[in-house]
Amino acid sequence: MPKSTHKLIHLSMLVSVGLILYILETNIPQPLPWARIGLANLAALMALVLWGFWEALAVALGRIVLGSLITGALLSPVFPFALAGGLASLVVMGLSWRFLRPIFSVVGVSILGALAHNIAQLYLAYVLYIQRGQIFYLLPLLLLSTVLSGFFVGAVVALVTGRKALQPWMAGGNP
Amino acid sequence: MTTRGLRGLAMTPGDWALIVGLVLVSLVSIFLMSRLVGRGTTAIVEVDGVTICRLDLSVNRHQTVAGPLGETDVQVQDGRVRVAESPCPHRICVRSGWITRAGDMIVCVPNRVIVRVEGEGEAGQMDATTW
Repeated sequence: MPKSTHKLIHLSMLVSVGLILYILETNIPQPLPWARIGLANLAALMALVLWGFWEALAVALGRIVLGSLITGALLSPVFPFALAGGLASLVVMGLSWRFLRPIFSVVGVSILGALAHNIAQLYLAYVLYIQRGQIFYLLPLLLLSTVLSGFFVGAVVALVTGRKALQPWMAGGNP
Repeated sequence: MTTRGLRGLAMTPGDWALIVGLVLVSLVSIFLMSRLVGRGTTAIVEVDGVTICRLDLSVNRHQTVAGPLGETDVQVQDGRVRVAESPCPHRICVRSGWITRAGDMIVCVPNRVIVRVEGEGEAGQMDATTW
C-alpha cells in the first residue's frame, strides 16, 4: 500500500480514537465545568510519536473540531477550552518530544502535555470567565488528576508503540 | 501476552522526578491553602440586614440583639462565636455551634439574625470551593 494511503488511514483511525475518548470524557464531571482531563490527547500523542508534529497537529485539530461538532458543542464554551487545551498540550508535547527526549520518556512527555492542557484551560477560564486570581487555587487538585491522566495516556502510548509485534506497522513501515 | 509491567514503559528518572515533583507541589499547596482561608477577626451581627454591632473575637463577651421574636444572645469566647440563646422555635442557630473562620455564618431566619465572621483581607477570600 502506498505510504500516503497508509498514513491517511492511520491518522484517520487515530482521529476516531481521539473522538471516542473525547466523547467519553465529556461524561465525567470535573471541577471546572468546561475543562476536561485530556484523555483524548492520547490520539495526538500517538500521532506525534509515530509520525511527527504536523501529523499530530492534524489529528488534534481533527479530533477537537469533529468532537465538538458531534457533541453539539462547536459554538459553546467547550470548544475554545478544548481547543486551547489540546493545542497547548500538543505544542508542549511536540517541543519536549523533540528537545527533551533523553530527560523524559513518552510518559513524561504525556504528563507535561496534560499539565499544559490544564494550565491552558485554567488560564482561559481566568481570562474569559472568572477574572479572579483565586481560580488558580483549583490548580493543585487539578494537578493530581493531571498527573494521573497524563501517566495513563503516556503509558498506553508507550506500551503500544513498544510492542515488537507492532513494529512493522509503525510509521514508515509497510507490512 | 506479556507486558513486563511498569518496566515495559521505559520510564526515565526525569519522568519520576516530574511525577514526584508535581504530586508534592500539589499536596503542599493544598495544605497551605487550607491554612490560608482567613482566621476570623471580627464577628458581625446583623438584624434584618442592618449591622447592629461588630464584635472583636479576641474579647470574650455576651451580646444580646433584639429581633422580631425576641432577644438573641450572641457569645464570643476564645476567638469563636456562637448563638447562645434564641427565641426561635427550632433553635437551629443555637445548634449550629461555634464558628471561627472568615466567611462562616450562623443564621436565625425567624428572628432575622445573622452572625458572620470576617477575616483579614476581604478581597482575598474565596466565596466557596467545590470540587
